[in-house]
Amino acid sequence: MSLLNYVLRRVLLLIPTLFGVTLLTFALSRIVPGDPARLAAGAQATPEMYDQIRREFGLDQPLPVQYWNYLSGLFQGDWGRSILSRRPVVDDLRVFWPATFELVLVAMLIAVAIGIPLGIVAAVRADRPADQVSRVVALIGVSLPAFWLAILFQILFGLKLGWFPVSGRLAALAEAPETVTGLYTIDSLLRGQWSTFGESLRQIALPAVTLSLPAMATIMRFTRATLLEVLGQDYVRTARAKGAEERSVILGHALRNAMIPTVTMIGLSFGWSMGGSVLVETVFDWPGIGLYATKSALTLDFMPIMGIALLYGFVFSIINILVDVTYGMLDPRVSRS
Amino acid sequence: MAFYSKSERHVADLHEAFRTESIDRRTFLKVAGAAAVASGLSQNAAVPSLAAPRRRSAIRAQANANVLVYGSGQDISNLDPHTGHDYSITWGQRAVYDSLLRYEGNPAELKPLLATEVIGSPDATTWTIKLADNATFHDGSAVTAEAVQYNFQRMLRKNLGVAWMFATVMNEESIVVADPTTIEINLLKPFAPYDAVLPWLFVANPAIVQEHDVDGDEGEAWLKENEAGGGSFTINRWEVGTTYEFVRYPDYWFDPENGITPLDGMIWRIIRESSTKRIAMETGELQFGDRFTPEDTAALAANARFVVNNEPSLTPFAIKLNNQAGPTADINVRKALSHAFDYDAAIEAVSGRGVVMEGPLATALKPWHKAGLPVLRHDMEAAKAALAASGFADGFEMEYVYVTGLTEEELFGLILLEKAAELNITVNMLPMVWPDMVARASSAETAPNAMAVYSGTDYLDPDNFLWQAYHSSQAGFWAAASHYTNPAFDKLLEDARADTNQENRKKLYDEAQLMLVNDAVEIFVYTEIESEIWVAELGNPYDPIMGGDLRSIGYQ
Repeated sequence: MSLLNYVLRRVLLLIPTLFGVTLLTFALSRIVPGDPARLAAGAQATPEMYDQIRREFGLDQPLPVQYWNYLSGLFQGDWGRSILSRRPVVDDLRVFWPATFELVLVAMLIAVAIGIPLGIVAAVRADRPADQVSRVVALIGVSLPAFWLAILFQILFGLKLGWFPVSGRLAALAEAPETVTGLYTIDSLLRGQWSTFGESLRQIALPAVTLSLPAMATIMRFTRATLLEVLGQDYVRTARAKGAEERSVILGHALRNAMIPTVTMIGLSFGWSMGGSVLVETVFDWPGIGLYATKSALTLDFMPIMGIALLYGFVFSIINILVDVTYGMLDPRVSRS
Repeated sequence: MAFYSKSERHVADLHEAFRTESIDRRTFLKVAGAAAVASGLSQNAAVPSLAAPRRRSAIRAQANANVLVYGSGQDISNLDPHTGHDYSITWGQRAVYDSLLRYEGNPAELKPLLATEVIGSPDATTWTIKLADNATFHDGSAVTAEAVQYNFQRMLRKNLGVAWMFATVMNEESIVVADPTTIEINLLKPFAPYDAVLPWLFVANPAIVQEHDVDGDEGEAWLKENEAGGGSFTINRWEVGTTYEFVRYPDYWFDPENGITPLDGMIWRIIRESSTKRIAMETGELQFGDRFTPEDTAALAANARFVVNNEPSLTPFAIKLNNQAGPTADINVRKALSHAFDYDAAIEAVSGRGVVMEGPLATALKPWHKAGLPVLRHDMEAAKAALAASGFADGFEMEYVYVTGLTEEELFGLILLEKAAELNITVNMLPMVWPDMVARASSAETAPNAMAVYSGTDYLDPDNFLWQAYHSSQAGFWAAASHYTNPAFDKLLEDARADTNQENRKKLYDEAQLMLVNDAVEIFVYTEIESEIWVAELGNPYDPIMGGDLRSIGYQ
């Protein structure tokens, strides 16, 4: 099967997966107790006001009709409206998703850029001081709570040293670059707005570093463990016996084979970081989807919750496909099978 | 509706000021210093820095240094004057729209705005409203009686937001245009505090609203994020969920005559975490913030740069006891619980940021709060005696329901739990999300035995609190979770609504407050001191009514 066919088949499999997500989230949202219409109607709403909201959002319809309306809306690009803000969910996702994606993307770039080299160093210098240091760094990365680290960074780098701002995607008086991708760093670059680019890098630095630490620690330890295992295999010994340079042995022969579990871990970390971004977004006031999800969940605002679940389901699936495709690129045996 | 070009507006302003020599060196330095604070560039500076700007955004900030950056955990989710209504939304609405009357100061007073005069008939059913003849919208058109009539009717048609204050006493036919600047309102029922709710009718320009009508929505979708008003500010930037920027409308028709130099702009930033807001205040990124934790409040209070609000609010907190079902339907059980609750411990639990309630109304609601009410205080002997006189002398189990994650409400529940245990009453703490609590409160059968409830302030009249929480017609609303039913009490409130004589109304409300205390309807706990903090240069911008009014805020 060619790579293209494989990808196409995986993409087609997305349809039942996402259908399942809609069914599950719809059922859950209708099972949980509570009445968002009453909350949306306001504190002192009359019964007529309450009934009007139920009618407006179709909550007075039988459940199968409500689900059908939801599904048919999805196919027309209508993901429903928030019962509280009354804004279309799609519009909200369009606003909040790029912020989370940008944050997670930068965090993962940091995690990979630091985690893999440190993992290599730790493997090559196993049980020596460099390895011990990397072990401590990894331990700190996975064990320190993100919200605590975030506040620590704010106090140290924001308040005491004054190097970085402590909240938001841009300073209050700065204006966002015109939207192309919704990622401020990319959009400002595309528009040639260098000062905004610098500003957005300063803003994202602390939240991205905070979010990257657990992923970085995990990637580092995985790289070390798998590389150590590979370095002990016969073909590596053979390469060394043939007089290959140590650099070539590690980076050219061993690392590529050691990367398959690490790539899996990077994919999983991307997903975990999306889920875990809510704490970082809260502390750094990063206007992403995590905050939106929390607010919606606490107010039982069902349509945004269902929209977020669907979006996350989609993104997770895509990441899985990308990871699988990467396997094939790293190891030709995988693509042949 | 922007009156400035978005791109590089601040730079253009500064260039223009230099070009026309309308800014001298001293002014420039003052402006630059304030700008450094406003833009957060002074980092740890305790006073406005006169240092030269280092970054481009600093240059941009200078021309608009007279800007207030407000940090709030709450989004401005819907600016529509007739469908949106909460604390943050009203900040925006009060900035971009004019209302008929407005609240100003603390204690708040009703002041004219679009209406120069509001006269009620003695039976409180007919109200004559005279409009200012020079009021204009932002497009320069006049605010006429027809425009006001349209806004009343749109608000009633939408039947959302603030409509609950109006819809029970008027309909679309109630509003009659007498002449271009006079409106007569013929209410369906008497409503003496009608003038007190008029600050909540924000007047939008009907022409602009209709211009943005989509499928008969009367501009509802558009007005969520745009304005069609005539207020002192207009929208410059609307970044959903992040930042909302308002700039002063240069040709505003109204002069509040309060001696305050108006702000050039206000930026509403969404910052949900208290510690982040605190650090942002300290770095100068914010000049005003709300909802700080007691720890952060104490830390900022220790810094002379900041002023912490210490005025008790009009926001009462009560533990609503179910008067209709379960053990708390027994008046002696309610008295026992009211005596058992440790009120001083509750104030300690909020780090002293509150005052114990002296009855159902906040003591700050002057002159309406009745002093000297026989409120039930913490007294375990009296609690035991009351329980012994009840049908539950051997104790019982009860639920205490509170909002998930709201620490104070959890602490109040623990205080109740500890003291009730001494009476052999087992309190089961049950955290719930707010919509679930609202649903539970909708009937006496499902309402919890005890439910933690904060009530907000919409209009400055005891009717605001007493009617919504205790009149039997309100059964089903969360504020009326106690399901109190008392025809004699209902009649007092109805009589008070039908009489515009304030002395008569005061007597009726005094009697009503006494009745509620005697019936131990709920545990009247405390009124909070809202955690609003601002830089000292802002004077005293605290507003006890929902939201804030930028007409009354400026740097000193």
